[in-house]
Amino acid sequence: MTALQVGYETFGGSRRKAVTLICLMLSSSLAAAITVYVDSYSMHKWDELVEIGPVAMEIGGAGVEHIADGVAEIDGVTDIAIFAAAEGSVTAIGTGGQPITWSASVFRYDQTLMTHFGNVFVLNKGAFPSATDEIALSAEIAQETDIDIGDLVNYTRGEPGIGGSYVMTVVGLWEFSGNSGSFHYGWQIAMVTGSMLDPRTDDSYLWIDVDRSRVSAFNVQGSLDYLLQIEESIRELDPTYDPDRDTGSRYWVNDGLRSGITNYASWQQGKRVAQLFRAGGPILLVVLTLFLAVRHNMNERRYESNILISRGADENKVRNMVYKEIMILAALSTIVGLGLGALLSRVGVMSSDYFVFRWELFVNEPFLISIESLALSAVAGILVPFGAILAYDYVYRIRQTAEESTGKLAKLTRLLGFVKWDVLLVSLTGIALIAMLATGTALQLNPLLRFFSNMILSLAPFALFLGMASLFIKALRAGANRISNRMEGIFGSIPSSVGIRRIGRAASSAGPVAMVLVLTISLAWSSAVIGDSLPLTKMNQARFTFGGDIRFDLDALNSFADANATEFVQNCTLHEAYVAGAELSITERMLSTGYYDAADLVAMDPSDYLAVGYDYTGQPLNESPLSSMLMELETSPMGAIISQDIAEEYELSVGDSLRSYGTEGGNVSVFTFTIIGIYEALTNALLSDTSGNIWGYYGAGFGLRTVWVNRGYLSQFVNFTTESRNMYAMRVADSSNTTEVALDILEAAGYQSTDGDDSANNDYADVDSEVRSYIGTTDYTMDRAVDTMLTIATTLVIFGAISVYAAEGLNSRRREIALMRAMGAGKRLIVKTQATELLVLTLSSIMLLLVFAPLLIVTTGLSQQTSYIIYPIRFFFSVPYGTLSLVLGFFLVSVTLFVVAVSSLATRIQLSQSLNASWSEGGPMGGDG
Amino acid sequence: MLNDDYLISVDNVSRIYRVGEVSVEALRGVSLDVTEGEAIAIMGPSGSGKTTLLNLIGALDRPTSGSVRIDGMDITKMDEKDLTAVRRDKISFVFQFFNLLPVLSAYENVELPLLIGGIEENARKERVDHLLELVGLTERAEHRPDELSGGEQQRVAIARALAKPKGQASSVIVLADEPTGDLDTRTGEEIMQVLRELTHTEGGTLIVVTHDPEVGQQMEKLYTMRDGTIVNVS
Repeated sequence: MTALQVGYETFGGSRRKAVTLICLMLSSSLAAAITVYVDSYSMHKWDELVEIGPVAMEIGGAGVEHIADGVAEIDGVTDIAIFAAAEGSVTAIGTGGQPITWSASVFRYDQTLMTHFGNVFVLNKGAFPSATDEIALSAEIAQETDIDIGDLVNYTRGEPGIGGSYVMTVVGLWEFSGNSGSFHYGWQIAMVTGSMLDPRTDDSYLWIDVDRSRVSAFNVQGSLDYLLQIEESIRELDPTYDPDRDTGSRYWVNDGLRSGITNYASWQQGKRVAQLFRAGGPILLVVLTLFLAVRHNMNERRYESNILISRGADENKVRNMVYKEIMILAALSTIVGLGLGALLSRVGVMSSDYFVFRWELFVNEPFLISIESLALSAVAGILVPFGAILAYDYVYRIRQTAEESTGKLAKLTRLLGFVKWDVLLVSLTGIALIAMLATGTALQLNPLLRFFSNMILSLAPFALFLGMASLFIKALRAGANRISNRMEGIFGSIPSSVGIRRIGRAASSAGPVAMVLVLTISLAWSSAVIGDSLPLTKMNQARFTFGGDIRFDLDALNSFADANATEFVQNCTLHEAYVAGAELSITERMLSTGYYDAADLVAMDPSDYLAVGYDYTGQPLNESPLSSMLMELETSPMGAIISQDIAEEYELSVGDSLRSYGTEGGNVSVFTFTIIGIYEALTNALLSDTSGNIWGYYGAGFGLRTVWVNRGYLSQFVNFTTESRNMYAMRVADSSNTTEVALDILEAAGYQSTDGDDSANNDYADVDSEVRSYIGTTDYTMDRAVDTMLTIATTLVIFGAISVYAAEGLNSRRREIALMRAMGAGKRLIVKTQATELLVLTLSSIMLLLVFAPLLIVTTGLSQQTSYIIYPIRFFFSVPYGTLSLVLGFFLVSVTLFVVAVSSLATRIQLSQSLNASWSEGGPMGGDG
Repeated sequence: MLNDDYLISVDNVSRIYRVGEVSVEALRGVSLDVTEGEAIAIMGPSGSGKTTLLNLIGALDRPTSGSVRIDGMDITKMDEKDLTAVRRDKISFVFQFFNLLPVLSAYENVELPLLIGGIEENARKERVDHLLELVGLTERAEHRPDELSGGEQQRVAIARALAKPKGQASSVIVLADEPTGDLDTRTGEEIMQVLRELTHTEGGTLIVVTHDPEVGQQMEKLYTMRDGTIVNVS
């Protein structure tokens, strides 16, 4: 009998190499997908930051006009013109009839300049000055004064009071086109003819443009180097310039193009790092799969290695030979991975939310692979596998050394082997997580603790997962027999005994496969839940913050619309979407005589507000525990509902008296209330957005230091018009768009939005626009798109891992199949046996999934930051069961199809060949280990 | 030379393997007849075609030309389904390296052919217990292969070879390829004795491929092969 079939490594080698290539490809494609997505997405940012108009650089310095020819000859400079500016001021009559003076920079109108860079300016009206008594004003100042063509203004050369004054006729109104003004320091207010510039303060500058085809987002560093070279060449036109001797150049360069590119690069880098950090879970998946691939290679080549070692080859050299082959495969896989990653990035580009696609974006959106992306993907494609090899080598050597050595360290290592690290890891991480979750918002109040708790929340699930997975593998190993006995009734005797028990025997590779499956589905579920929960969180926070669906700041609106509050409120009630409304008057009072410990007293008509507001859990007040308290407040005008923190600080309980102090007009007034209710948090309806500010007051917690009181009672002591902020909160019909309703009402009241940007207005706030502006942010869009992309990428990881598992034991699997066939087992029984093994592995994974996934979802949810404001509930979980089922179904169907394919292929063997080959493999030299 | 009295009748069988452009003629017109209950040995140097012949008789492979009849049925013309039935009901293998399923106990390994054959539980148990007793492994029934010595594993393999459904042990053809090749001399002798005796006791037919002349001498007939042909019968 021959010991080894001819061509053994040739055939087995190509299969092994294919499987390894697939696994290795994952790291480069994952890195490429993220970086290429960010690159492509960043093209909009590139356009925004780098489109600075026709002037690329402005050059200044004494006598700069004399180097114009030298600058023009510098490689890359395509256009040049001299322009002059001096100090000056313009005085005109404002809209209120009073004179207004602007002092800033005044340009000289120059025909040559206009020929070269005329499109820097956009002439809104009229013409540029052509006579000494003509002036063209910046449209910006013209707007403030209602100046128009033909009007007269007073122009003073130089500083006011020093230079001569001239009455000039306004002949034109201009502004900079796009971002064209960004290259020039200072503020420009007017343009006059050359002789009208102040000769004492006038300065000349050079405006230049450069060959922009050599500037590209593809090669940011190359672009920067190119621009820096031009800058340096300009500085070198000063013969005294010698940077080695710290002698500066008299010429300075304001490189608008370079600062645009620099801003772009830092924005892009920030996004890349943020997204790569978010991909921690998938990266762990890839590392696990790579570890499997390395292990598979070592096992598959064990026979060959043993032969070489038995013939005197150095063991290290043989192992290095295997490693070298893996690294060559890694280099090859990087190229394929880049292509796959680029394709995946398009999936990200067309995602507008988690698995919500706008298909046309696949083609329409820009596509960019920058040099950095290529480099990063190549590094990931090569370094990550190298890391997996080092990890495998380390584990292998440690185990071998510890097994063979008799020294103290080896004894200690063996001793540590008895310590159940997985139990320890699960216990410690579990305790840390429970402690953290139990502290509620307490940790959030301290920025440093908040940072660390978020770090722990992000990392702990994965540490916990490793521990749980290790225990799971042990359970598989120990429990396979028991499971096989129990499953006999379902799958039959042979599939159960042969198929299921094989899982126990191959637990070292079956376990990681299960881990990959569990982690992948958990990540996909987590992404789905987070994607669904973030808008809900924002909505509930907005409802709580604003005190209703829409909240109008009556004081601010009054000053604009000259309408009284009563009319405005009546106007609100007339809208078809109106459900209920309530006026809230908020006044700040002290809760002690020490002039500190202020609290917001929110005065309301309790029965009105009951139908309008929401509590901090997002529940409508009429359905929340606050309902009964508000009804009591209605009947007990002297009552007060206080926030929990006040009750704790002053050790107050229901029935106690609460005194508040005011100091209007130097007199101290004291109001006393009877506490009728204490609630975790109460809104003061003062904020007009929920984003907050990192250093803002509400970092201490929104909804605290608040007291709700009866409006009728407080009105006896407080003049709401002069002593409080007045808001009108509204509830609208469920199907209504709160933004549309708010704008309808404002329009009906004659109110004009000042800048058209809803979110910038503090005069009103509405829930829909708050949610919309949140989910419209770049970060939100990118996060959801990357989540979509990563979900698809991790599916590929599953296939990679199962391929390794299937290939890992292929020889022993074939031997078993051949044996069973030789005993007369039909193909159907063989397929059933193979399928049972993989299905039970999948089912076991689902059990682990049901434990791990909720944990990952909760911790991921709690580590989300939706606001700098600390809310009592930082995250509202919404479980999209449909999507979750879809995700699970997708994975199960994919895995099942894969299992069926693997099972069917495994039975397609040449019986005599497999048996003859396997007869040798069953012996002492062979086997899969 | 067709004769339905023979349990196995190999007639003018050739087997050509193609490896790329090269054709290797492993068997060249081999003919051989074995009667029921007979014990024969096939000897010859490596590459002489012994294993190829065994594969053809065991329905693991098909000849390029010629026929192989088992119990009067030409298995070279059978489809895969019928071949499976022949393997299940008529043929057993004993391998050099035992080839027990590592996840099953000794008992379960012996039970496996009966399970495949659909034998009901009580009959199965009775048969497995009997066979394990015959090979002297009743006490080791629950042990896994890696807990057994080489000799013990081969005994389990012999018991498994004789465990056939429908109680048709009388017609079982045991094909053994170097059954003592991985055992020391003494254990090898014991194993051959068990194999020979049990096959005889159970009424089976035994074909052993071996390099070992002593093993060959123990058989009723000895065929010697060289270059794909039978060169001597003694």
